[in-house]
Amino acid sequence: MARSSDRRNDHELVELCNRGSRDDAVEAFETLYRRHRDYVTRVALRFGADREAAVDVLQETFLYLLKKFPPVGEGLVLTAQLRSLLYPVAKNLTLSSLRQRARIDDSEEFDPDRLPAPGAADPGERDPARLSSALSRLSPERREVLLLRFVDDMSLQEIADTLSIPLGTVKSRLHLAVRDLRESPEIKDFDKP
Amino acid sequence: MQSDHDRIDHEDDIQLPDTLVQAMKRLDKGVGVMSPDADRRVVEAAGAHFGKRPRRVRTVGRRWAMAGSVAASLLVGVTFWRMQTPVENLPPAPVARIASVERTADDIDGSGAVDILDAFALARMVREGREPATKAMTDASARIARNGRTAALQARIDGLAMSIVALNGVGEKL
Repeated sequence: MARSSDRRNDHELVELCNRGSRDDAVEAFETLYRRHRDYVTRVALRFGADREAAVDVLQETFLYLLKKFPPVGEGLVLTAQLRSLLYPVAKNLTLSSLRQRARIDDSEEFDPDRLPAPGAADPGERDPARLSSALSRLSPERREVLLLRFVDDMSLQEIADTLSIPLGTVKSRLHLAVRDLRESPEIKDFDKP
Repeated sequence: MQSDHDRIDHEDDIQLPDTLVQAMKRLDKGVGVMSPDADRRVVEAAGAHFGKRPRRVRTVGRRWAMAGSVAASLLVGVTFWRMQTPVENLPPAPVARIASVERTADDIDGSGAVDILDAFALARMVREGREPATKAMTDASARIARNGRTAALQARIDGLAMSIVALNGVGEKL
């Protein structure tokens, strides 16, 4: 059983998954799963998955990760945070799932520009619905970079690696996202201390 | 039309008010999906995936096994050495020996040997004020009468006991 308070970092756990004994590898993988489970689910929800689809994305993402390790895969070399790997997998699985569902429903063609903003706000001092509304008006690319930077605390370089885009593009998208957000009337009260 | 990248290339990082960042984080984390079934399936998949690898070697058990084998080797070695060595060359076993004392007057109970029973007998005799039953006891009680002091008597008993129980036969002299 994996311990939730395991102090080993992701690199050490990935190494155990690469080369560890059966027990160590299973325990390390379970720890990685429990550590990043909520994050992967949130990424799926960010891109418009409902709860059921988010659970599917969660499983698929970790099954994908599992196949990276021997004996099926050749092993995983982490050069950045594990989130940098999990994020695009979860995102692509979510978008595929939505596209598939759109085809099945025979509804209008899936448009990635209609990416929803984070939903299900909790009550706070400032109205979170207004913030949600402001975020939803950002372009999907800008909102994505904004959330990766400020919600996921990724560095600019990590964002560039995660999205496989140039660093300059990350900077410009972030700059424009912040500008758009600040100009939004819904978040004026968030600027106050 | 200019791209985003063409327009912005001079700022490394941009900050937002902390209240706004915290609100965005709350918004994102406010949505939680718990699925015990998904948890179980992923863990089972991991068990199946890594199932063909060797089991974990218990390092603690190996350490104990090594210590045990060393101890067993030592035991066999010592046993073998003792079997090969003539008895007269073996060091004497540390057994309690009756202390040799010069004064026969210390044989309080007249057993022919000075042992811990003499110390007990002397103490008992003095405490109960009984008459000595042997010649030796007569001598001892006479000495006690001459001294007439309890402290000296206690020192006498202690010294006798010490000389008796000393393994090398050399007790503390009075």
